[in-house]
Amino acid sequence: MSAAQPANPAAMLSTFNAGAASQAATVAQGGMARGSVPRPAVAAEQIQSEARGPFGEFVLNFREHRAAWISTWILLAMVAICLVLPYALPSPEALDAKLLDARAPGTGGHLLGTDTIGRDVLSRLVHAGRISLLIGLMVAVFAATIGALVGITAGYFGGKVDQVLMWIVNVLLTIPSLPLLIALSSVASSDSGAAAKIFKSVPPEWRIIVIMSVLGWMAISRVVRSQVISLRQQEFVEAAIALGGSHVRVMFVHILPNTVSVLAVFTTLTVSTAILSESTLSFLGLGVTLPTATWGNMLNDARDVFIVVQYWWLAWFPALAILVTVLCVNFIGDGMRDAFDPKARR
Amino acid sequence: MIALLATRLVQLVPTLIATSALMFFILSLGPSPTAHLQEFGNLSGEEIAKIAHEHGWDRPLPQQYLSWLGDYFRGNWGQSVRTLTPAAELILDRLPLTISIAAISLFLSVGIGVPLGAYVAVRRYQRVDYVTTFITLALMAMPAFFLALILQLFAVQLRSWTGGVVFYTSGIPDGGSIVEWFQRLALPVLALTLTHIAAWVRYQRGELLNVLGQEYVKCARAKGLPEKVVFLRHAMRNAILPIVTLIAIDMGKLLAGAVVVEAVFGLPGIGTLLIDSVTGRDTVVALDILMLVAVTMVVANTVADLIYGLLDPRVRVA
Repeated sequence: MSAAQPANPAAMLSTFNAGAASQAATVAQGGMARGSVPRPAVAAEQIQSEARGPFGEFVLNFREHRAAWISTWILLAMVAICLVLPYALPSPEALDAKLLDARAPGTGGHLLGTDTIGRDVLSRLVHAGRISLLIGLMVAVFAATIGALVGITAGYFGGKVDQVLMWIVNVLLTIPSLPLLIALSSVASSDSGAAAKIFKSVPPEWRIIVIMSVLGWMAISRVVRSQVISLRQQEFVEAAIALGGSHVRVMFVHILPNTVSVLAVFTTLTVSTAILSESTLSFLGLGVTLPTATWGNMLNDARDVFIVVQYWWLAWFPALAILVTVLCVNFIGDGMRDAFDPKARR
Repeated sequence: MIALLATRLVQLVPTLIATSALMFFILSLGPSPTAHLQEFGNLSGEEIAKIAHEHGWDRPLPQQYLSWLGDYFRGNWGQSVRTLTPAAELILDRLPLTISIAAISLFLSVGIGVPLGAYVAVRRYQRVDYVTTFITLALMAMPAFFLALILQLFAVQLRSWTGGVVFYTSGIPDGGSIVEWFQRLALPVLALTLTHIAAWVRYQRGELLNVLGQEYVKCARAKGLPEKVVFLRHAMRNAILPIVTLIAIDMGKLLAGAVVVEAVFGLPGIGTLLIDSVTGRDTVVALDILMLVAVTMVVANTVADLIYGLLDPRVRVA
């Protein structure tokens, strides 16, 4: 890749994929935040920000991003509901069936109705929420770990190591992920073969987590790498090396903490991609398998449009759950991006 | 330019080999081809071993890979275990449908998304910008299959209003008139377009804002050039360059999106064939489809690189 390239494809790719929310939320909060707070003199602001510390500064900036701040509370509320409500509701497997019919929302003590075989939709929704949110979170954590390791290795050592690692990343990014996910997922859930032996005793949600993590780390490794390359030039890194710090120490004690901003933003955005991919896979019947409910496979029950015409609540509630979660996560990622780099926000 | 062409073509070879090896080994982790035969139960173990030997399924994996790769590039794509017909025939049969859906969607999303992105970029922080932002964000947060489902609901509703079929919610566009072809494919294409247009609008908006902030745009304005000239000759011209590369990236996403849309609308394209082969343990066909997608993407990326090189002299130093 040439250095003279004006538009770095890596950066482009990430804007195109994940940056969905990037400028968006800047718009959403646009003029609102600005102007409402009177700007103190520069010197005073500096003193204040030093007193607050970098984390306090981050929180303050983050709260200024109204969409992100509201999203955080909505998401926390959803997590709390999914964690607590299952204890108060009937089991998602309990059947309260009307013959050949589903109960409408609000009837028979079912707030969101029942599905066609009589399972309480609300109960399934919150149980599914646990799994869907777990998948989103875990995939992001694993993908970020792999991505950070690969990115820091490539960026720190440079040369051949960098070339080889980034070539692998490029090859993996070239192949569209959904067909690959479909293939891997079916291989892992088949009843014989090498992969089946490994995944035999693994719960279906963890099977999906492993597969999606393995295919989800490449974009993160790219942004971490480019961050590391610029950090590598800086004096504090040279000082650490001159003082005799080992490679591992310099990489993980001095460089890695400085990549936390890009890492946090991209990890957050991975949560939403993972939730969407899981729902797509489960909808196609290749993701998390029943009886474990996820928002995706709840929608699989509503695959036929004529079922949705008759029992709209089977499709709309899980779809709404996905929509709200993904929107919130995207806004939060965006707010974090702005909060880490207040100067970039215009 | 010749040097760029040469490097890109040389780079193509290891990439293709790596991609094909990856696909092959992933699918070889699944059930062995003989698993299918064992299920019928009317063949003895020896007979199965004999069949496996004839097909070379008992050889070491790297050897199997090499012979498969050789066959693949000679155009021998193997035989489907479900239909017992040549895999190439199955795939080529379904390819036109997927290509037409994806191509029309690509055309529409670039054709509408890019101008729309530019339009709202110029009107930043105005109402049209907020509304567009809200819609694109919602589209991007929505699973593609649910969007398709909403369009189906719309078709059903339309049917009850008009009393006749306006758009079909599923089915095969076989023969028929051009009107029927449109009635059957309009919604799938719309679903695919809507899921992709959002990324284009957002990208173009950001890119144009970025370019508009550059020094040379300020310079052009300072010279007193009319805003129209600044916008078209200086800003737009640079802001649409990366589109070439993005089209290549988006092709992969469109193919992935086609899988979902075909599944919802029950269209017999490559996507549904992939799902059927994967669930029906038809490894041969699944592998061929994955290879086709991967090769298409690798070649598309290379072509995009080359076109970019042609358009923008700064990239030519490869």
